[in-house]
Amino acid sequence: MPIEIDFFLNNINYIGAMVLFVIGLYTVLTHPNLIKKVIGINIMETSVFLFFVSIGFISGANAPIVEQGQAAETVVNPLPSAMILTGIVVAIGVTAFALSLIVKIHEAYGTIELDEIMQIRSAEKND
Amino acid sequence: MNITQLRLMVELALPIIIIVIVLLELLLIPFLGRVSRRRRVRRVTVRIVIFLTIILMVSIYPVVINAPLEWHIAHVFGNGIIFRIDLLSLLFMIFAGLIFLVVSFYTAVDIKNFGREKSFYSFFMITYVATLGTLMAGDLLSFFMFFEIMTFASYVLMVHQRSQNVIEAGSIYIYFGIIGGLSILAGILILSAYTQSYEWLTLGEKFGDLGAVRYVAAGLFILGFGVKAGMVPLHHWVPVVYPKSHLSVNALSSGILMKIGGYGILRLFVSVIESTNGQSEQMLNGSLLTLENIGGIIIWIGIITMIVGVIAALEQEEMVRMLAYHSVSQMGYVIMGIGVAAYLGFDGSMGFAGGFYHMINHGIFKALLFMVAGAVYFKTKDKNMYRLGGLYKNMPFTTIVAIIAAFGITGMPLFNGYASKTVLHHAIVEAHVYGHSSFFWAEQFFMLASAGTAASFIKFIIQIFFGKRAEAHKDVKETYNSGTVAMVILAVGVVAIGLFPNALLDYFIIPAARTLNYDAQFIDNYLVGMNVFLYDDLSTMLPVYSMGALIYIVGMRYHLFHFHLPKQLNPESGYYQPAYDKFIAVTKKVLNKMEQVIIKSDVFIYGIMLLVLLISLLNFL
Amino acid sequence: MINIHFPIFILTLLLAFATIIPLQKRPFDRRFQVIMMSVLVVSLVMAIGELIYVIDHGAYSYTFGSYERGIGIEFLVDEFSVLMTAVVIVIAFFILLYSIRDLEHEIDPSRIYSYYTLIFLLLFAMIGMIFTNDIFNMYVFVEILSITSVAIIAIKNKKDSLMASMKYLIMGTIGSITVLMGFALIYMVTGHLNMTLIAEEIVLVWEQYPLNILLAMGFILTGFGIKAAIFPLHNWLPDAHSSAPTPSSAFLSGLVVKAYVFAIAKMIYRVVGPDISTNIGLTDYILIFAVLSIIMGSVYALSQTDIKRRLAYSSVAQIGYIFLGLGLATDLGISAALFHVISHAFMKSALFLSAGSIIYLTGKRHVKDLSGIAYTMPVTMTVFCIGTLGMIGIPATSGFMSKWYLGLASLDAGQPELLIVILISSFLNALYYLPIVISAFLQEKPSRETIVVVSTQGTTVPRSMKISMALVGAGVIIIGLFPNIVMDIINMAVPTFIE
Repeated sequence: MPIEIDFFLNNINYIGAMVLFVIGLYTVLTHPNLIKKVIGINIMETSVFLFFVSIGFISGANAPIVEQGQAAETVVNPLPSAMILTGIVVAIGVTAFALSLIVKIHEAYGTIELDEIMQIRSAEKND
Repeated sequence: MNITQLRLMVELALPIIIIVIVLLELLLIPFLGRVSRRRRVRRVTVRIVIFLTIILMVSIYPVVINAPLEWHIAHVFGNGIIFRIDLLSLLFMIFAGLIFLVVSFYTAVDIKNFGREKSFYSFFMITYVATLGTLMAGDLLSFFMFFEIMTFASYVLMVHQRSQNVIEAGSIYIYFGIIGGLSILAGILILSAYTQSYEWLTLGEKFGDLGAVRYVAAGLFILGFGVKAGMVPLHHWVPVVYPKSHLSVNALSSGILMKIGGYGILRLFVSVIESTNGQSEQMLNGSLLTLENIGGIIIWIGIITMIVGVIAALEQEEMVRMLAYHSVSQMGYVIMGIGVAAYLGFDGSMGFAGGFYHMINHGIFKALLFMVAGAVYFKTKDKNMYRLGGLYKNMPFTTIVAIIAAFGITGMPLFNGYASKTVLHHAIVEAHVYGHSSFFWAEQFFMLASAGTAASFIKFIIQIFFGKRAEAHKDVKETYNSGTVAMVILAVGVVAIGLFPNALLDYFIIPAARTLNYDAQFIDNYLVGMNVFLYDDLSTMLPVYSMGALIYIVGMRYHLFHFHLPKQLNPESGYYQPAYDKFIAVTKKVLNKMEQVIIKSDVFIYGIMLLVLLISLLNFL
Repeated sequence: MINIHFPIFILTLLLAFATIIPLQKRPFDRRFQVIMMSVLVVSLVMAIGELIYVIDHGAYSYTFGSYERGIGIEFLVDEFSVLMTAVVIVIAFFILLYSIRDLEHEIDPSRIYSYYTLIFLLLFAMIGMIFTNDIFNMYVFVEILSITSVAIIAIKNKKDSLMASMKYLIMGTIGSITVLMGFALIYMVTGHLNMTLIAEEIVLVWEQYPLNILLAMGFILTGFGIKAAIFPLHNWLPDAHSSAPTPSSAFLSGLVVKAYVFAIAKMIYRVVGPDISTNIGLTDYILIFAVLSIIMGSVYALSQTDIKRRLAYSSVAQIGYIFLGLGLATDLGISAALFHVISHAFMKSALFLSAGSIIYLTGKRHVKDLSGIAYTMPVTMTVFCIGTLGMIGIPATSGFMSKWYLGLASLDAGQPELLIVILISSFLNALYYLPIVISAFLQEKPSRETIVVVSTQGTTVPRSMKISMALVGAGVIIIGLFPNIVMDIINMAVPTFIE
């Protein structure tokens, strides 16, 4: 028991990231509303960023700023943070694009619920 | 420049010259179509070009009789193309040229006024160059290329009529052709992967080395070539397509294209025997054992093909279908001969000679038979034998030619079929004597099939040309045009080869057998100067013909010929069609349902699949 | 004259042109078309020059800003990357030549400039992805490629296209995120982002963290698999490729999907290394899905009646071939797969462009409606016929050579059952492609058609479209007759690839 909680507490970042990933995936897959799907994608992306940041973190280390003449010391890895910034920008781009597509779909179909859209599509196909 | 220099130049680049000439003609064809007179010029140019190529091929005979000629063209297809002409190919090439020439004369009968000549003659020339290419090819890749081109080009010829049911029938032809081609490709790939080479010769050398794989490869080759040759059970396309296509195309296909299938199988076996010079004892025995096993199976397949073909042919009432089934049956004879050639190994030259000889003879008389059927059909517009009759008064020339062809195919002495059937008979007797005793029954089936053929053709001649003439055909008159020339040439061929059977043997077949490493003593003892007119052989014809006449009389009396196999046994309606339909229907239903679900559902199912994937990945832990 | 910076020049040229396009004020006219085509020609010249350079001097690595490998971004310029770049630009040239006349009728004329911006960004991302040797750089290029390829579908404002592009976007983004998670896992254990350094590190770290690397490869394979349309994850492809404008379909089927397959190949063979991959059974795993793709793609295509959907499902099958070659994990297998990447790019572009011309001129997409159109559109149907013969595997086309190489590779790897799969799928290909060609060439047009068909586009396909189709068809045949041109270069590249 104690070993388990320890393991759990030490790695809570990674476990949280994976849980968020699955929650996000579940949201994308099951909710019929398109905006909820986009939210689900955002949750997934957030989980990946969380995972990335946690990789770089070293407990007990300092912020990665080296001042002139100071000795080298253990710093947190700055690279994942840089990568995540890129990732966040990409995520924003994709979200913006997806939302604009949703606007267009709403114009074309009149609804953004996926099951209603599928009904309209199959009705059209059978015409 | 004199003849020798010309001949040297030809010898230097024969394949290229042939291909270039034909391609030039191909380019010329579309331009010669506007006016009717120009169309006549077009037909004449086609014939001249084919004749020219025949002359070229004959001219290199003196060289090839000593040693095969080879040409390499580098860089194409990665490893270059090799053309190789030896005596076996040369005779087939000349024969192909002759058949194409004769058929091009005959097209005046049915294509001339049908229309779309430009397409017909273009694909005719493409089929011609593809056939020659298949025969000339020395490496497997170019062989396969020309084979596929030949299949597709002949398909276009087959469906020349372009109506809906013709195209449906044609699609069976092309799908069977593609399956055959793919089998051959599988065989080629397997052989190339294991022997690291692409030439027929090296294939033959290393064949003994391969292990169990060689049976698979040989089986695939035989499957592929069998489709082309009309081997049972792959013969289904023959009776489906032949009634629907033009009769000149039938003459072409039966005359030469089916033979390419036989040539392929023959080439496979012969290249093994041919390249055994200086091989180790063990490898030699391995090759011979393989050949023996495969040969034995092929002999039986040949026998089955013969019997199935003849029985089905006896049931037919429509002329063209009957001739189609007879093509299948006669190719059975050829396959049996090739089987003996393989089975007896070095002593198989009798089978080789028989198979080879029969292919040539069959080409001649079968083409002639199709032309006769065409002539009758065009005048009477009826293909049903039972509705025709008494046409010997209206069409005397056709009657004579038909009787000559019928004598040829049934094996009447003094006509060409007799010689080749006798050689084949000797071959199957040898298989029995030198090989396994079960081939005794093979010989009996051989006699039975010959009797059946005789019966069938007695029916053919009597029903069409003798007996009571139908009212509708009272005023049928014969016309004489280029088609007549074609029929005359073929009929003369039947009779000439019948009267001088050894000529073909001496000039082509025996030298071919010698260069291909068959046992020289055996050849000298049995083949050289073989007299086919011995009493023993002549006397075997007597029971054949009498049994045939008996079958005919009994059949007509008791209406046995109208007996069709019950629907369940008839492969066409019983197996192929329903199986195919059901397969397509089930596939369509299942797929439509699956696709509807996938499109209309949301990403949920997709997610399940994703999860399944991830979980199965954990399997690899 | 030819210097080592050419890859970067190509990229900057494409990017610069992409950013200049939206600034145009004139309508879409001849001058712009000429400029666009000449940009592509210049990039092509540079790519070919680079190819000659690399063939002579061997592969080299190009570091940006002279920062060394682990610190800066690196491009690994090897023979196959340059060859693939050249092929991408050549095919892009043909497709854009085609699109000049075709786009006016497919999308809103005010958006044509946006379309070309997206295409050039797509080319930029694709070429970047081909060259890069850094996994995060690859992720960035993958994202650019993703967004632009969705956009070139959505730019056609029809309902089908919008829904299809939404599905593609969502699935593609799920794929990207999965890939990023995989990259994170790899970074976690190796601490590098550069592929060569990761490869060295993985060999050392493999025993300690097998789970991490396995999970990483699982995520990466799944993520890229969604984008490359491996069998169960291919659902977005038929809708997306069939409802897109024709040039987009040709781009997507012919080039974009291949770029992702190439990324998977890089990840398996360059990052993780062929030894570890075969040890953990990754390549066997790919083989199973490859076989499923091949068979199921062809089987699905049989039941389609819309010509573009049929071509899209056929793409799924063809990508299965490429995965088959990759899954064999031998030299021959990889070279066969890479050869098929190039040959399929040509064949599928030929098929999509000719199908697009048919739709352009007659508006008909249903397979049964195509009887007898070969007489009104001979060039189009000839190109379609060449593409069909290539798919079936008739010699003298590039499709036959790729089947030949794949067959030899599968026999060499000791898996003859794959040969049977390849041949069965060739037969299935014939079953669904031949009827189209047969009915187009050999059947009569239904007679009422001659009265009713009034095409608003004139009576014949515009010349630029014909020329581009004919050139792509010629490419198929040239590669089929002289496969050495491509195969020699690939054979040079494979050893550096697998190192």
